[in-house]
Amino acid sequence: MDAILKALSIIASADVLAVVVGASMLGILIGCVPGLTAVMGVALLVPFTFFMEPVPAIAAIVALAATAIFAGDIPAALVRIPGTPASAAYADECYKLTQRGEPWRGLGVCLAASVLGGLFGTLMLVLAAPQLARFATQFSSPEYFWLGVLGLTCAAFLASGAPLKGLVALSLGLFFSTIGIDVGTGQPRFTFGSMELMGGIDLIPLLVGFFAVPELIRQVTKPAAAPADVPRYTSIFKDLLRDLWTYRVQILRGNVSGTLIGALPGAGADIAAWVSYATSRRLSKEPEKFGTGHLEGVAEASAANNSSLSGAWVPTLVFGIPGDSITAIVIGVLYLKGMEPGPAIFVKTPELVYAVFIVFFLANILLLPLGWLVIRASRYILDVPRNVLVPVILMACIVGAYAIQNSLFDVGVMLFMGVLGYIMEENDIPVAPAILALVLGKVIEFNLVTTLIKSDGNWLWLVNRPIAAGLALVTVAIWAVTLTALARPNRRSESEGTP
Amino acid sequence: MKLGDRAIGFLTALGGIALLQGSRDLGAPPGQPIGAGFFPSLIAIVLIVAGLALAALEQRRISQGADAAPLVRLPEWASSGGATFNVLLLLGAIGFFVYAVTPLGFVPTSALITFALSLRLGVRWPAALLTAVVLAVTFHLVFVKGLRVALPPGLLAGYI
Repeated sequence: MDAILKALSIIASADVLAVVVGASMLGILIGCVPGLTAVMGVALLVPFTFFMEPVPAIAAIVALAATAIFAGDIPAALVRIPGTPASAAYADECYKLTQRGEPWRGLGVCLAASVLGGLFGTLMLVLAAPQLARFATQFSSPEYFWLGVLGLTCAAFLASGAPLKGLVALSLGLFFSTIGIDVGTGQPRFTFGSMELMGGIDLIPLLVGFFAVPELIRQVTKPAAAPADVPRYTSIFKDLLRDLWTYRVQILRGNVSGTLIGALPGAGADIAAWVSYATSRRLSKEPEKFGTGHLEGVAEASAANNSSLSGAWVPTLVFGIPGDSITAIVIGVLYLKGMEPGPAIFVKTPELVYAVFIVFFLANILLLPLGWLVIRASRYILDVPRNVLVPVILMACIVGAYAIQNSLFDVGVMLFMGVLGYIMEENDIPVAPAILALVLGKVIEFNLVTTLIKSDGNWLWLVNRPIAAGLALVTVAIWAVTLTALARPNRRSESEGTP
Repeated sequence: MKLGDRAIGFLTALGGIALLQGSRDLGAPPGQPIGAGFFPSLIAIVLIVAGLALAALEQRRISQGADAAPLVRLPEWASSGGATFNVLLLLGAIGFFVYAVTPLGFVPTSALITFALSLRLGVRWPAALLTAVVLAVTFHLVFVKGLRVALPPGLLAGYI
């Protein structure tokens, strides 16, 4: 109880509340502008969080991500361009509603379902994380090794439609994690004589490079778009309660599946939305209405993508295993702020954990008024021209990469990673497994080497404890199923398998 | 640049072989069973297997009658001189920042980059100039004055 009161006193300060409101507004703007994703927004926000206390820093990330994911629905509904990948699954459906003359009804359901999804996911996080943390206190190096491997397996095989390309991305990320001084032997690895590489590759230049530079390349290579033709605002509240009641089961189902998918390492809001939309169609009594501007799938998927954000925090806080790309960044920030993720965080700094929980509730509740305001203002936001946007984002990327260590080398790393990320995306190689692998690579290597040194090189020690054996079994089963499916003679090509 | 699966597979496998060779050069220190090259060599094996499997699957697909994708295909925008110039300008601007920010300083360098990029993307020169100055000064105020990031002052040292 003391910890909860302390958490409340931390949150009640003016600077935390100002950060939450500011980050929420920024998130809404980023989500609204097609091409600017929630992950990119969070990556660009990290340099600012360096100068904040732990709770405002985390609060900024939570608030920005929650609002950006909803705001992505606005251009999806009004101009058929999803603002973030998480809205892509139902962009067509929302746009059909606009063509039928009901854009504000669709956006009202998106907003309310997003708020409900976010609140449900947060509730699950509050209930599940401390219980799982108690369980995780039994874990030692073999369990953490298998958890890391399982997380990467999910990211490469389950969350990506092209398993082999997912594996390539994952290996690339693991390789990046080995660059620098080896903590076990003190030997420099793959530094090619560079002093800057001795410390390894920093996550932020890599993230900014992977997520922002490819988008900038796309922006400067596509023809200038005509100004958006946004219909006149009427009201999002007119049929809202009736629609929410009609689709209450779908919203609840979206909440549950979104939270579970979010907790799966590597699978984020976009996958939650795709899976929920497909589930909604499959279980619908009126599947023929899908694709004609039907609210059922929109409500379910919109709830799912927001609930997945909180779900992703469960493995992040409890095990230090990120649930998606955003929580991969969060892990970096947590370490920097002295909040080492893992079961001990619930004992060492419970007030900070509770403060994070409260921020989740606050950000999702705040989404309702801010979302309503931004829907009203969408006509103006969608008109922001790319020739203003590109230089602003480019400078934010450069300064963001530089500011972490005041290093121009990091700006060069960002440039390299940007070109690499663009080539990867062009070739349907997913970048998310590479990012998770960079974060988890050191954890996996440390726990593998520790186990092998403790056991004098006996590999069986990796599976001689029941939880480790269980995790190993699940990991091996996923590998076996994936490789068997790949070996089938009539399998489509890797690129065709990409969702 | 779009590569066929066979090209990606072979490049991945080649990268794996290079990594394996690099890992073998990292011997274990005396008295330790596991050296710095142990984990990278495991990654190298995964890279080689994944690369070969990717190429083999594509080869099998072709042998079953599917059209062979070209080994390398340039992106659509590469056929447009204007778009190619835009990409080179964008990437060149990042490179320019790395080399120019220390002698010139953050405000002049970022203003130059913003001005050039805005002009290229169709903004008229007075508006581009205004955008460049406002953006550079805003970033300077936020990061240097507000967040204490040590961005080089360059030519303006002593004035800002």
